[in-house]
Amino acid sequence: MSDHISEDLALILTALDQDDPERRAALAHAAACSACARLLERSASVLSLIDAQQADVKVDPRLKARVLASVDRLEAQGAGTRWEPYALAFGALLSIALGLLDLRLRWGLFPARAPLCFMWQMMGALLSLAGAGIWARSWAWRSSPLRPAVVAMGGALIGQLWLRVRCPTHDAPLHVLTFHVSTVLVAALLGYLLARSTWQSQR
Amino acid sequence: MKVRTADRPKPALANRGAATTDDGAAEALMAAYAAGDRGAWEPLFDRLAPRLLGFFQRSLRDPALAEDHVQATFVEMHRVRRSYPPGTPVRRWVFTIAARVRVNDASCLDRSGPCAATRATPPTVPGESARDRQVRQAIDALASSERSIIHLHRFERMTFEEIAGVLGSTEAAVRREALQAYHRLRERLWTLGDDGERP
Repeated sequence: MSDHISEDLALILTALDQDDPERRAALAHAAACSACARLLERSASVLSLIDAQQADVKVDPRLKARVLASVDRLEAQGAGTRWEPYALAFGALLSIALGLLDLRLRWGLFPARAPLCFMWQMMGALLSLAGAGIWARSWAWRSSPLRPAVVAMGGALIGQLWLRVRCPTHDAPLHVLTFHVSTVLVAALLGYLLARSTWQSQR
Repeated sequence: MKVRTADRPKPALANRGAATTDDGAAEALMAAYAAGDRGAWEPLFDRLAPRLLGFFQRSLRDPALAEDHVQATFVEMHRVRRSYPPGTPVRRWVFTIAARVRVNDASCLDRSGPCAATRATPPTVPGESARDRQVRQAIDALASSERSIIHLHRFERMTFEEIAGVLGSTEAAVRREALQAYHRLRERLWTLGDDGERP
């Protein structure tokens, strides 16, 4: 660099990375030019003022606790996703198998019975969710939203078992598949949505 | 006449873009954390959180939002910890995640949006000298992306190449934006360099 350093560029040249060719050329020039050396010196002084703005940042212990809780939850959630989908698939198959146990060649949807069947199964699902909420809150609610879905599905399956006694049309395959099995799936979906809304409201 | 660029803090200057002993320790901790050692989390947090908080405070100018971003960065870091390439400088890797977290915050995407518009710089900070206030206000007057670059360049001692890697940009683009920022800082602070005082 044979030209003099302009006042406009002095700060930028001084701020450049140490091995930047433009910076090195400016330094080489300034070594033999006192006016440019003064400019770079003044630039270094301005940069020192900027560097002095680096504050000693203190992290609030509450932030640390908050982050740790989030990481723990994420870890539990990650661990939880390993088995819940399988449990849900198994629950759905079990529900179908229960329906097939009493299979007779009896045709008909019997929709008039459906509300009562739905009520028994949903009662099972809600009791399971309530029980898990009371006795296993951290296990059921603070890990994965799929876990409450499994809990609700389990309750609906118990309800389906109870319907083998209570429902006079439990041997009609169309009724069982349309109402009993689908209610098990609906219960799982409701458990999942309930858990998700709870999580979102806690954020 | 010898140029007194040595007025800048020497150890920090020497560390720009170079791995330090501290980085080596952080790399070992990060490797342990990636391998599943949860005991490494706390020392990693203690090392990285103040740096991340400083970065977010500077670029967002909102203490509460900065804390939220620190939390989001550590959550994301935990999520992708197994993808940490051993031997990679932790600081650069973590700041890459932090920059992504910041970009993903839709409310801050638009520089003229709520992040920039409603979060005004505090006019005074207790115990701050008039000169320091002038410097702080000059930095705060920069655009959010310029503040991020200046922060990484001056306070994290990253090179333009490293900053480009962190921000997912090109070295030329980062350099151009940094030069604009330094130009604006010069306009506001040049007279302060004339009094011969050193902080």
